[in-house]
Amino acid sequence: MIEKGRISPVQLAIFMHPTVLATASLSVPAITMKTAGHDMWAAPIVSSLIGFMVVLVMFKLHERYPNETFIQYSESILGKYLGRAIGLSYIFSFLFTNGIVIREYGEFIAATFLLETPMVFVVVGLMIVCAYALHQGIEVWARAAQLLVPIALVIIVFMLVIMVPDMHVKEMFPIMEYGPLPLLRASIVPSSWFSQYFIIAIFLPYLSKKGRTALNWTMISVVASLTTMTLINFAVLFIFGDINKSYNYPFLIAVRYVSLSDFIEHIESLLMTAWLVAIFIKITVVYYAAALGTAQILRLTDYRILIGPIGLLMVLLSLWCAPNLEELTELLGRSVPFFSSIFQIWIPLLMLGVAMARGARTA
Amino acid sequence: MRGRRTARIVLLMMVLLGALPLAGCWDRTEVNDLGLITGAAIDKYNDNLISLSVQIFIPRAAAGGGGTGGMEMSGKGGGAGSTFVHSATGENIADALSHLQEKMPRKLFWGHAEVIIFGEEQARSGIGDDVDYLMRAPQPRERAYIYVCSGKARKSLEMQAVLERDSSEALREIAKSKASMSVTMTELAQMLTDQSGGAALPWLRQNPARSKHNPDSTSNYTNGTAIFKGDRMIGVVDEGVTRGILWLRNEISNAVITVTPKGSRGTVSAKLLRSKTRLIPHIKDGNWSMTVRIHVETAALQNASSANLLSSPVDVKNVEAAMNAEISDRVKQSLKKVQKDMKSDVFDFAGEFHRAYPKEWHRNKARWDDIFPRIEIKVEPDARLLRPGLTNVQSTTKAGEEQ
Amino acid sequence: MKATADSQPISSAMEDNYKTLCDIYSKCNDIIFRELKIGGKTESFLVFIDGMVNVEVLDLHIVRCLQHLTEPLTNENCMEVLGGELSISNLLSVESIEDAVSHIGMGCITLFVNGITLCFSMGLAKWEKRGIEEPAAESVVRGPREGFTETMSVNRAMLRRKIKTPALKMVPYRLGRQTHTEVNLTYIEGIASEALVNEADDRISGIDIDGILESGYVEGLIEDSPFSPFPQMQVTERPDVVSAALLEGRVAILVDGTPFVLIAPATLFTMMQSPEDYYQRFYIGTLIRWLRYLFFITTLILPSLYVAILTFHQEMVPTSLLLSIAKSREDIPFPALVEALLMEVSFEALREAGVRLPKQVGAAVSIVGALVIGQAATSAGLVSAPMVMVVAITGIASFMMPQYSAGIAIRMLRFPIMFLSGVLGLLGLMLGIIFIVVHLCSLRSFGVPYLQPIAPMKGNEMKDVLARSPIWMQRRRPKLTGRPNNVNRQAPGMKPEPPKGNESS
Repeated sequence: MIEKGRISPVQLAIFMHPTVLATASLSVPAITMKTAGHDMWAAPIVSSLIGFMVVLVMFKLHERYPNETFIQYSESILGKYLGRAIGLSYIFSFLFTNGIVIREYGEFIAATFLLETPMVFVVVGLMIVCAYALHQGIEVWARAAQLLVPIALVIIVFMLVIMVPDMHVKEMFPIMEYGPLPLLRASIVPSSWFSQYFIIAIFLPYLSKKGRTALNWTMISVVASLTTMTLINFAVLFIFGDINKSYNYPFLIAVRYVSLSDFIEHIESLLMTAWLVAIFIKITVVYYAAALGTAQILRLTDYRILIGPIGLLMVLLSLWCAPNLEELTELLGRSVPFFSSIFQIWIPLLMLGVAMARGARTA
Repeated sequence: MRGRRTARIVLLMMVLLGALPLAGCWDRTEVNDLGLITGAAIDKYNDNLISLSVQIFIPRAAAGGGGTGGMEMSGKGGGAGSTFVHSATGENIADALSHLQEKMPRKLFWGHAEVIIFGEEQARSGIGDDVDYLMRAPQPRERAYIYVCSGKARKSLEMQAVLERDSSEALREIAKSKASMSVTMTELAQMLTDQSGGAALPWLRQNPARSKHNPDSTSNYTNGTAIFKGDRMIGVVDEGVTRGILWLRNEISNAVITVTPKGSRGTVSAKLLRSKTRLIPHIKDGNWSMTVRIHVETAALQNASSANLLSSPVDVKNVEAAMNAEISDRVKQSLKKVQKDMKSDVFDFAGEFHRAYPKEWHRNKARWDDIFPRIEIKVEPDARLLRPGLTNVQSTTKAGEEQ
Repeated sequence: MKATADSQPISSAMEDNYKTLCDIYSKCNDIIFRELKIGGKTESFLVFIDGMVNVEVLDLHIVRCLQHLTEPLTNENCMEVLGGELSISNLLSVESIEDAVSHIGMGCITLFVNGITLCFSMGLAKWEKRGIEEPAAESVVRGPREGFTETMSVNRAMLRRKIKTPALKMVPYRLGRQTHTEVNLTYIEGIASEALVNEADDRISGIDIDGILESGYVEGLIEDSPFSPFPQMQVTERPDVVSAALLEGRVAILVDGTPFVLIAPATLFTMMQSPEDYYQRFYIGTLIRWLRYLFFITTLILPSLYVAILTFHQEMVPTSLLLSIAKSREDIPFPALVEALLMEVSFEALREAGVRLPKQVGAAVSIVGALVIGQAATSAGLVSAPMVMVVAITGIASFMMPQYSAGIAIRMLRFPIMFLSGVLGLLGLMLGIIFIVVHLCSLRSFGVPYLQPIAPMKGNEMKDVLARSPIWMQRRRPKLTGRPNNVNRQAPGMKPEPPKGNESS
């Protein structure tokens, strides 16, 4: 085994939460509002079904190959060549995902906080920290997540609480004005975030406790992500109502809007700090998956030598993936849901099917 | 081995850390280099151009020299000289701002602009484009309070404030107290984009100076409401009508209701404790109607009448009935003005109908402008006098006299 | 080196021994050779170091006794005879010159007798030492006021006085090729896990160095991550702190010649606990603990936060506050970052000067520095008043750490963070903090994660970190390296309750 560290199911649950929510909390409210209107608050609830399904599929596969990561058992299931090809394509998908995430992070910072600083600096600064975390190993950054995520969550909850005086519940009515269809259409986009729970397939072999406890904690994690996303959706809907869809980052604007007895105002920078924690963990998780997966495909004994090259590749991909924010949003709204559903839902399902068929035959 | 690698990483970190400041600090702005805008005014210059005036804080004037401490008052009439107003023209705000910036030694900073005032002419020709800038640019505050004022808006910025730091701070404090209409930028944007097609902004009209002894001109204006249709102002209503609008929008607070109860000569004043307005829309056989339920709780402030508020339930009932009549009157008065005359839905009736009758709403959405003035409105006020106050000296003596 | 010396036995001819020792101690003015005749006939001599032995006892009870000794001494009966005649409790026989030398070094008096291949070491060490005083750096309002001294035997006795069980073990080591410093590894058998004790034993025995002058030498040679700015062992000069640690299953390392004792394993949270937390009521203990956490973070980020907000995020400051800051900053010629660095560096210099100088002068330095320079710099327009306040609060906050060494780490780290926030604003500040958190998570102290029990989470131990739970609730010992032998440290149901029964009495 390349990785000797072990993480607890609680740690897995904790770091999956920001992995899903980091980018979702910013852009999903606006994207879902465009299609679902007032009903956007329900979109995460519908799309979380995908999340539960993906978790179940990954656990079923994990039961069959308890000591292997997805990259490793894809070879056992699909044969040497096809399996390796699939593994390789997943590495590329990780690289690409992180490229987009890093770009989103850079765009967000460049658009709202550091207007003149070159994006490369903002991006490289974070990547250095991520690379350092990766170099210290999975145990270390899982512990760091365990420490940082609760703090970030407290900040978010604090913000939601001080938003309450500005909320108007009436904005959520009428419910299902145009029937359930817009809601279903709108929940496709968040579902591509929930399907990111796929990535637990990389971490399941390294759990210190397996079986039901792990499954339970992962499910709790899905529920927690769902709750947070719904709460954020409710908050922006109640505060802004219809005007919501004209903002790129509605939650950010909502945070800018809050005011607590005249003293705490314009605290979007505080949101940025909480969000930076989340994005750091998200990038580290995917970065780790890419580095470990590559090492497993190349049959290396240590993934640490790959940290540098893969990090560099991710930074470059982030700069190349889209020329501007519009195309990035376009990419996020159209091609990413398509590809992520293939990579994170259909291929694992297919593999589970093949594995079950093979299992049946050998048994 | 491990140690050497760590040492190398530490070294790398230090080199990077050292290199960062060399690369420059792009977004770093010292406070000394900022021109802090405390308020802005937007006027129409001519058909194509607008004129943007900004009120800028002067730190040196307020510092009182030498930085030995800000305790001493400068001799310039109580902080009146701590701001100055500067204007520039341009095709829109962004353009005007860039012209303004050219003449300014410091970088203009919108982050603390608490008040934005539109001139009457500009308001009449449409404020949509200006709101777009204010919402899109990252610096201006979403919670800035918006005003419309008579004549040139620049004049309002130049008003002198005695109690507060400057005129925009005074305006902001007044808006925050919610005694009259107050609208933040986000609320304005919401009003401009929702289905009702109407908007209301607080209206300022400066009166001529009253006397030389009172230099504070910020308290010397009349309040009112500017009514918008779309993004254009179509008219102004006075303070009394504004009250009615506030009742209907469920925004009233800090009000004192003075009524003359039935069967007595004097007046009773009651302070509003809390109030809740509910709009209940009905559509019956194509007839659109609206019931306005206003639940008000008050406490007696002054009793100049013969009513005995402490021990006579009948008197209390009388006072409550008089209050109901008063509220109903106010509301109807403003409905007549705004609904019938100006035909602008500043109360968001559209939203209420949308929420209650989504199907009918979609069918008739296009005709809303026709429907709105014809909506029948039933006002059902329900005022309660909860507390009679601490003593009852006045009414007992009066009651004695009458007997 | 050691092997050759071992092979030199004590010769039966006294002259040989005398000559050997004279060679060893050539040009050593402080070694005293005293020749005497036992019982008036047998040649013998005493060797000891001037100033390290109890001369009174030597004169009264040894020299006189030996001179009047009548029984002849032989190799066989010498121990018995001397033991019977000399009124000394600590009498040992030594067989090699090397051992004799090491005994002399410890302050023993050695007796060489002609014709006997043994030498006798009499433990009469006595030298001028400091009395037991209140520890200066860790004073408490409530709690014992004694602190360790420089003498190992006194320190050991202080521990033994607190923990009387024979399970309290003290394993001796001699470290330092030249200094031969005595180092004791102390633990309670049955409470400290064997794995931990073995690990500590391994690490200490591995030390091979010229000299150990202070426990800091040992710490630097056995810690887990030598490059980390954070201390990975707790340092204390209070016997009650060491006892508490021992009772939790930790090990302590006592070093002769210094009052500072090392405790391992340590976590960040043990560094932030004061013994007084446990002596006071638990409410105030909890509150003070949270105050300490708050100011720990304050020390680390307050100056950086000020720089970041003032140069990047001016909109975050409430308007009136920003305007008054703008007023006071108007005439300051430096950027905020330079101003902050200037002030912080001079504050550190002031503190260092105050520590090094004699106490009376130190107070003068701090008054001159804090009041005069602060006031003068503000009115001269070199530094803004808010910055002086920020630096002052940071300074006070850094004094709140009960562990001096842990405070040093964050005091150092605030400088790079200040740089980062001067370049990237709050983003840089946050990147710096994440970096530090990851680093803290990567640290281990003798196998125990540095941030335990928060990360990794240990539900049961968290109540002693997030709060100071009442004594009767702390039923279990914290889980450290290895498997503990028994985890419960008190009987169940220790919560005090009013007596049940008749209430009318």
